[in-house]
Amino acid sequence: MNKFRKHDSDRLFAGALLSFALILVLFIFVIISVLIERSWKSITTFGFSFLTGQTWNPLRHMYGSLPFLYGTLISSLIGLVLATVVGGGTAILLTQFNHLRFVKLATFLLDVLATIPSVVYGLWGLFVLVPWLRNTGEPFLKATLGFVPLFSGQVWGVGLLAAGLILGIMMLPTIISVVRKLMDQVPQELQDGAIALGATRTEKVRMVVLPYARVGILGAVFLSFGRALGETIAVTMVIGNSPTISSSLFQPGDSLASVLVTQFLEASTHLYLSSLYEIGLVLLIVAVLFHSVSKFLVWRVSERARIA
Amino acid sequence: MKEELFIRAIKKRKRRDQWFFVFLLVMGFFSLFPLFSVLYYVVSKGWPGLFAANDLISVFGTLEMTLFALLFAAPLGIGLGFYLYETRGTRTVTVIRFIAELLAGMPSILVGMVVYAIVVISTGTFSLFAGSVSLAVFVLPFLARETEDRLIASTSTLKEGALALGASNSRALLQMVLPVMKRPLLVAVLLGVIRAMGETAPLIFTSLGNNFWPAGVFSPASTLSLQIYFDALSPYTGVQAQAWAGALILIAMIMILFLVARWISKGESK
Repeated sequence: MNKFRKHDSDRLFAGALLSFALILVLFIFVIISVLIERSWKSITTFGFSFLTGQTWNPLRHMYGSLPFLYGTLISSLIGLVLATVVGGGTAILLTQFNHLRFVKLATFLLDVLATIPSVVYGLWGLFVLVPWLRNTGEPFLKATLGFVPLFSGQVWGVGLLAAGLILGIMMLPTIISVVRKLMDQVPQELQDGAIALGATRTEKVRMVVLPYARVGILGAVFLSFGRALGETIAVTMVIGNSPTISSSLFQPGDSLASVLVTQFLEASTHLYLSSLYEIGLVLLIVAVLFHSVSKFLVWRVSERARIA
Repeated sequence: MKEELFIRAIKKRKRRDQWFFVFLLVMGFFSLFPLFSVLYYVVSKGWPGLFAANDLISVFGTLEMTLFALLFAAPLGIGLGFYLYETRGTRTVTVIRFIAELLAGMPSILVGMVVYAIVVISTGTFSLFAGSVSLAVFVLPFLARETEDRLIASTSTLKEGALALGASNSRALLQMVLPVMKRPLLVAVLLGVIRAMGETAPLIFTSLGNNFWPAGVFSPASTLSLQIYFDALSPYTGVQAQAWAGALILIAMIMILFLVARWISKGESK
């Protein structure tokens, strides 16, 4: 291809395009270096104990980020489980039972769902979901599943469960659209074959469609999880903003991103601000880690599928 | 006897199939229920508080900030998309692509913190400008990705044809591909506008919010998303009503853009 690049204009054009790419590299470099530079004081002061410390108390200069890591992971996990079950089910409904009339309408509505901004979900969560959880949802869970530590303790409304539910709703459109695309790629011959052998639609889904799309679904799930970790505004509004670790999902918590929103502009000392930048750095590392792991997993499994 | 067992087994499988279908219907209902609930509450609670003076300030803040952000991000993002498209398969581009995906997957609040450290501190003030910068960085990877996807989807034969006729690479891209891609790229930019409009987190540290008309580009400004966030956390019901009104306006604006984008891409596919 290089042989044909004889025009000066081509070289100029390639250079211009490359400069766009370099700007991108510059961006990421600046972001990472600013985060490290600003959090340096916190890193050198606390070292590794920043990650294992369970107390976050700026008044007493104690900065441990474990409660935020815990809140981030648990709320995202709740959201992920809900979104995978509900979204996966919806995707099966829309692909395998696509003679239904409402498929087109449902697709349109799901596209609309994807455009609703995070802050509107937060608003809805705060004034609709949280009161419902406080008055109906959580008391019901407590009455039926109260013997499990997850569903015990005082009922607040705001908390890890509310954050998880909101995250689940926000993940839904992505999971549904990706899983649908994957299921559409399952060869029609395989599906027809299963039906011809006498399988019911359920059995076809379980034995043919799902195994075929498994790899991609795993990738979609991981990717959504990575995105949920960094979701900020909606979570901030419903998680309760309390840096505590408790086994009950009803209790208020806090996430890495939401503590930044609520405390960043209030940080009064250098060390406080530096600790918050380190929280940002931790958030970046967790997000990057998850992104890379999911890419690697999908790559490895698809590689294996290719060889087999 | 044997036949009876056989029939019973079939009936069992059939029943299981029907129950599975019911389960799927319930899941489908759960998927769409939040949308209806959100829209219902936004409309019914937002309607009474509409047409307040503060909304107007936020609407202009949103429009201005998004416009500035896109002026900066659209050429850059589209250029980057072209770069990714042009250099597919080479080794350097896998690194660049990884970085682009990293930036796309990065929590937007981190962008806000970095813009705060650079722009807000160096200019000495929270500002509409700083907000625009953070929004631009936020939508950039999205625009690049959309551009690349749309280029891959529609134009490889077009470019090959131009090259076969002896056009240089840059000429093929700029004079053949770009004009054809005008509408798809416009749709990509509109989708970027939708994303930028609703974004809140990075603006808290950069634009801060403002109850009055901003004095200029270098002064704090409110957007609809910021107004919704701050008003929602207020203890006063009157202020909370403002949050709902803001949400109604924001969703209406986003829906209009969304329908326009859909309309354009539909015209394209015909």
